[in-house]
Amino acid sequence: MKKIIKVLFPFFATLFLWRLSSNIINPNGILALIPIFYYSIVKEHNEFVPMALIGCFLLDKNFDIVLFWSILFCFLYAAAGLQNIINFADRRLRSIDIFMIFVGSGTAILGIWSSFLTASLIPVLTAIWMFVISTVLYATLTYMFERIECWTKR
Amino acid sequence: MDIKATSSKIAKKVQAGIVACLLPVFFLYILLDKPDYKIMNAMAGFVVPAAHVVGDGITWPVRVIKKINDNMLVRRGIRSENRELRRKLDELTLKQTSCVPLAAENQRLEQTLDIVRSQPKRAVLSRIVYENSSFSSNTFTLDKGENAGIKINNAVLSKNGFLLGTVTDVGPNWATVRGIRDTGASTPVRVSGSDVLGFLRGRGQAQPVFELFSDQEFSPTKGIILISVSAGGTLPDGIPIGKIANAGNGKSAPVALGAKTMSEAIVLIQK
Repeated sequence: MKKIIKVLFPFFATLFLWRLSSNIINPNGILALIPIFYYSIVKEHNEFVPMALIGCFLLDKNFDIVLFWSILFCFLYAAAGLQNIINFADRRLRSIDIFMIFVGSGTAILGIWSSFLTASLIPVLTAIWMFVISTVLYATLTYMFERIECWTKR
Repeated sequence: MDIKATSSKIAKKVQAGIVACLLPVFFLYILLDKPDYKIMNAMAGFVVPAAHVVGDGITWPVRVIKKINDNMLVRRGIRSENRELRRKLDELTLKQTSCVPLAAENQRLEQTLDIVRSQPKRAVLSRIVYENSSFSSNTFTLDKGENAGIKINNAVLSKNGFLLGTVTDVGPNWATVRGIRDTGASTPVRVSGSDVLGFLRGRGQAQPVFELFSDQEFSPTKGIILISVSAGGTLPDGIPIGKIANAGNGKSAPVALGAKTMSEAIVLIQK
């Protein structure tokens, strides 16, 4: 039972956070990036990578953009796997700094680009809020994921 | 050297390499398939619904709680709205209650104003020496006449200020008055505080009726005060006559006259 939970939990966590998108707490389901990042970079589950790509694809549909998060994720995953200088998986607070760079760069590009298109500052503010909420909840959610993983190992 | 760890590292590198290879594929796809992105949309056609189904299955407790919360919020909103409406209803009821005496006061003031507007020059108090109140007629004779300044068509009032009738014949020391109850009398009247005109038709001993309203939409109601109107005739404006006794048949209504047959009457000498 625990083994099944251990295997399925990352998938369900991703779909759970994607499905529960709400305008304030989880805009466009961006919190789904937390399990995507955590289970493919920090605590790597090899079988999860296709699901991570599907999750990014679903996020792209929510954001109504073409392959933006998918490309960003591929870039990050390739960078994490193909170089030996920085170990993305073993940094402070479950690699929150890498996650911040990942989400920050994505939301910044989207916010600034949308701001140019709409000639307003609202997209920038939305991007800032997305960055803040996902970073703040990253620590909490990944701690929970870690506890669940410890429980499944027992 | 641990073979398992080495192979794991190699597998990881291979996986990263494959994912890295996806990058140019994605870029090429974006360049080639724009602006329709048919392949991606076709993929979304089954990936998104499937994800929705699974997502709905996982998140149903959260959505149920959200639904309950929404319903509670709606219910709370309805309750507060109900409280607000009740409060407004109480206020309006209170206002309406306070309006009833104000309306009555207004009617009384308008009636007074009507009387003041057309007060005759002077009044003569005289005694009723004879009264004929048979089946259909209502006439009486006063003990004062031309010598006291009384003329034909002068209005005659009871001592409590209500219209009794008009002088129809006059001598040096007497005057005959036709009361408004007389079947031959048809007195033009007006509803106090409005522009609705009509005629008061005498019916002898029976209550006179208010009929032939100028406003077809007017519906007589019990308690409405009627006052005299000159209507180009000799009767002064604004003398109170009585109140509508009941709604009648809608086209005519019986009137309870205010004047009581007494021993004395006031004759108004016109300006």
